[in-house]
Amino acid sequence: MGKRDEILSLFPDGLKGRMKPVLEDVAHLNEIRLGVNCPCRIIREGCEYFLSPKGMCLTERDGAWQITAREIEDIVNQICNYSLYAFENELRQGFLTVQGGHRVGFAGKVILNTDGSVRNLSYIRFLNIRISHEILGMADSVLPDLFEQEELRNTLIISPPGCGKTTLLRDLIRQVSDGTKERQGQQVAVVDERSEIAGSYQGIPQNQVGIRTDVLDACPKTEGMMLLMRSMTPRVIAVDEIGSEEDLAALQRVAVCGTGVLATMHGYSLKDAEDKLGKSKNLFGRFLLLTFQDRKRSIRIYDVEKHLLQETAL
Amino acid sequence: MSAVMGSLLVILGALGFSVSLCQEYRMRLALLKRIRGVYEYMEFQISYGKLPIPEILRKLSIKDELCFQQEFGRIARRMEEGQDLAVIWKEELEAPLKKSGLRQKEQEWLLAFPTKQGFLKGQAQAESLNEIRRELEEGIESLQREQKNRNKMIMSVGVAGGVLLSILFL
Repeated sequence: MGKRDEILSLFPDGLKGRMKPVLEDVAHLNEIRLGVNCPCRIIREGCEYFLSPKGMCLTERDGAWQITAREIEDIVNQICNYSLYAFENELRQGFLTVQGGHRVGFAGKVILNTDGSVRNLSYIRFLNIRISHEILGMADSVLPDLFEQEELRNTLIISPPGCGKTTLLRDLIRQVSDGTKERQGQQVAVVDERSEIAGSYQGIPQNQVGIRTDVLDACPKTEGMMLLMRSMTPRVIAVDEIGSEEDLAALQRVAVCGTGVLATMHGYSLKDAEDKLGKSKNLFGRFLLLTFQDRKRSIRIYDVEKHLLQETAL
Repeated sequence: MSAVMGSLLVILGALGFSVSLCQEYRMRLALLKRIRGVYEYMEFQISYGKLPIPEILRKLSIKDELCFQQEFGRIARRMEEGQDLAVIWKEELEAPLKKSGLRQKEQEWLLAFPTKQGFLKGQAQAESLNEIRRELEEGIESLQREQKNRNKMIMSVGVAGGVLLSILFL
């Protein structure tokens, strides 16, 4: 099934016709945002458009397709294969990964437990369909600098949201796992708490993460790292969006065992990341700072002494 | 001699007709029990396995002891292609149910399945299917009672009819 059909299959028969024209250009599509009584919005190459009832992209909201509650319910049913109960945990988390690794975010009325934690979502009224785009080869120019004496240095990718740190991490995982002409592949384990790295659907990675990669999907990072260390004996462990003290403590334990680490963190600068890392800042031997300005992505690579090793456009 | 043989054949024919009528009842009953089995299986897989509907249907499609295996397999495949459950359920099952000899109300017990979807909790979803299963259970019990009485009546009427016809022919 191609990407176009994967997205199209999320919509019930009655709405497929509206989505078809816009999905012809699925390669440049980032998001489809749907909300009850709101115009359907399409985010394409970072720009927002409105969708007409005939499936045409409009720059103005006048004449845009206003979505009804019934249409949202039909789409949710379609996404969940008429089996909402089977996706209870995913709905509680607020998102679901579908075939192809695309993610559907949900919002609506929250049902709480007596202790105030989220029990589930009812009256789902807003959807955000994020189309997964892999960039194979994104890590080509970066990878050689991450090795020292043929050993992968623990690496932290730092960037603000939306700059592509998960995309870069995914390609790093793939290349470390598959190996390159210069280096042999290594056993990699991924703790994919939010199903963003491998984009697993029914436990099967939908994105290319390499032939020597084991994926633990939808598992909390700290538990996942320990579990994988015990069960899969990886040479490298990869995790997305670290930040809490528990994450850092678990990473320390992983590093003590001699396993390499590939991780990402939200941050705007090296200093920002250092502040968040606290005592764990010596854990990493390489820091990759990603920025995205004027539609151009660039990366700076620093070593453990914070010396700039390379600055390159991606 | 030929008159006696003819009379015997008429009586045997009437008896055969009665048996075939009784058989039709038995087959209806057997199919209803299999549909009940389908619902029991679904409830179990929903409550304990938390499996989505297409996966349950795919499992049902390889269960020989139940019914409509091919149809369930096709529905699962079409659901995964993104087609509407209510539409494909009707398209795939309406025709074989009509051929099955089940009464309209009995067919509805299986055709109503898509209207019972949409619950967030597995337990609630299974309960909603349990409602249909309870109705089905009552239907089976009443058909079983009816079958016992009807069988006796059909056999008696059949044999008596055969005897009467043979007397008339003689």
